Amino acid sequence: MERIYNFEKAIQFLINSIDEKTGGSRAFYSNLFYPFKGWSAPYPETTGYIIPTLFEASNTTGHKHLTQLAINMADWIVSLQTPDGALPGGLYNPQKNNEKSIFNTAQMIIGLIATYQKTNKSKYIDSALKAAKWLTNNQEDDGTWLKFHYQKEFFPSYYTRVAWPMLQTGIICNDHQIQTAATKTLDFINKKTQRNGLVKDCGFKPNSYSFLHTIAYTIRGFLESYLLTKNEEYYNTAFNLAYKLLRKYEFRKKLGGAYYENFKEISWYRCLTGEAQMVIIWLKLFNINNDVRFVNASSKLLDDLCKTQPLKNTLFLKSGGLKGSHPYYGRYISYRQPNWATKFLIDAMLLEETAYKEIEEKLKL
Amino acid sequence: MKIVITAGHNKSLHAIALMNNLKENGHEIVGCVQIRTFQLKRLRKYIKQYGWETVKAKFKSHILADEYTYLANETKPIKEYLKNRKISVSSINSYCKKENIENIKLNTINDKKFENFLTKKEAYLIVYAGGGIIRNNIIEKTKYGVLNAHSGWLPFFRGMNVIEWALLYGFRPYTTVHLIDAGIDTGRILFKESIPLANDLYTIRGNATVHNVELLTKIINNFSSYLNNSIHQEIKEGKQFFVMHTRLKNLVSKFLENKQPDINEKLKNNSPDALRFK
Repeated sequence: MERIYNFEKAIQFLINSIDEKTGGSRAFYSNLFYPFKGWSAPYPETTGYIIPTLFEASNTTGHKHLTQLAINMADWIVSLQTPDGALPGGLYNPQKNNEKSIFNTAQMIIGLIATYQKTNKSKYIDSALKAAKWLTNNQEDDGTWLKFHYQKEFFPSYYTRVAWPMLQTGIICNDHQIQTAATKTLDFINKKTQRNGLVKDCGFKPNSYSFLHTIAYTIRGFLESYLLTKNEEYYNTAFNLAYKLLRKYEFRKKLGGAYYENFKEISWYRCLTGEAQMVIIWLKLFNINNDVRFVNASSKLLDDLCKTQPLKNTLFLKSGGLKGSHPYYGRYISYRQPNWATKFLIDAMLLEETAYKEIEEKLKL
Repeated sequence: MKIVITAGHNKSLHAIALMNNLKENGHEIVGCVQIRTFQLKRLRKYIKQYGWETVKAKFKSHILADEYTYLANETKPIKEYLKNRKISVSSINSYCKKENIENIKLNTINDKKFENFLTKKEAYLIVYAGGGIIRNNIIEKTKYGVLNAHSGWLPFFRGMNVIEWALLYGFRPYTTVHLIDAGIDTGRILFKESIPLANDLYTIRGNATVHNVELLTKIINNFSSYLNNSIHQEIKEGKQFFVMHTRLKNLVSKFLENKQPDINEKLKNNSPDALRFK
């Protein structure tokens, strides 16, 4: 692997993020937020989608022990599930019951499904099915949700990333009700696609800017849903927006940290998390359309990302962990190194390697 | 026909060879416009685009004529070409002085001074030999516009590093002579021809420079005929390519080494019409 040093450091950061008591991954490292221990409480949502990263890293590298760490994470998630199937939002607090969350439940399904596929143990798919049914039962007729949101009375477009794990579960469990519910959500959001390619309401708040992170969430939801349904409309929305961002990156050599709905960008900081997610999206697009321009842009953006990754501990930064924003005080997850930024960086590096192997094979090198 | 040549910098051997060829073929070079080499803004732009190592190597090889950088092969063919024609001058300034061609230096190619220069010189055609993206204010100043030789099969390979991109997709690299319009490599196509191959990427790039000079001369010698038969490009058909990442470039180099000596047969000699991405 070309970026082995950065990769190893990133893996070590994720391992360090694991909470010994629960087995869950702690949300972020920040000496400013937690001056004594540095680490926050475990975060069920991102623990959920870190699971497939650890399985993948275990498969392709020598870190075989990562598999067990991922299974422990899945077990912790199963233990958090309420009888109706919901999973909690927010950081884990053993002293109180966290509110149920639509978005976070879906993210944890991703981990449960990955663990089921890895171990073939029914408890994980049972848990995923229960969670997906809870999502379906709480959905409105138009495909949206009115309750259990991050922001009350605002249905964000990045919920395409709720539809994707629902589709996964629906397909594996052959549950048509869940699949129909998921496509309803996707179709509702797809109608919000503007002429400039951006999907309306991509951010955390209505009528405001969207971080690159949530824009990438939206694209990824459409792209993964296309892979599961072969619905070209989802592909087109994902491709058009991803390609537009690629052109912006290639011409300007940087991406904005956030974008307004008219595509005006906020460029005084970089949303590193979103950039790593964009690399994943571009590389997945390459897998679909063989357009090497997506690999090219990915490698350049990964170079830029790796330059910001701390490779040793400093006064404020933990070695290996990608910051939420660059500079550190940027608006997205300011002064913190979130576990999900590093998770996406690892996914991106693994996908890049696969892409180059494929190109080499095609060139018969 | 009154012609003005552009040049990316004072040491552009490409522009010197072009001016010399055109003069030898009886064309009237009424002026040369060169972009100032040493500008902080320009340097920053190049570093952003190509990276510091490439800019350093380009500077050493193109400006200082250093023969020991990895880019040295890129300038060898044009040096050889000039040597064979017994042209010993190595700068635009000295060539223009010797040939009595008015030579102006600008910070950017779209400068108002260039517009005025074209009016003053009553130029019919600008022949592009570097200097940056030309805007409409310049394109519209002459009767025929700006003629360019692009090292890629148009409309499919637009933009940067298209020799590398063509090879990566398994196609023979081509030079396309076209008129520049407001888009990037989207103007009317006058002629296409394949670039002589070699076993290393930088020699092919160097061959492309010489090929570029020869093709432009050939087209200008019979300009009205080529113009009358020129073809409109379908913008939707083409792909915009960007500067290639070093890791991909290394794969292209490896591909060239592995395919020798039968590269001509291995690379498809036809048009890259098959290159259609989803």
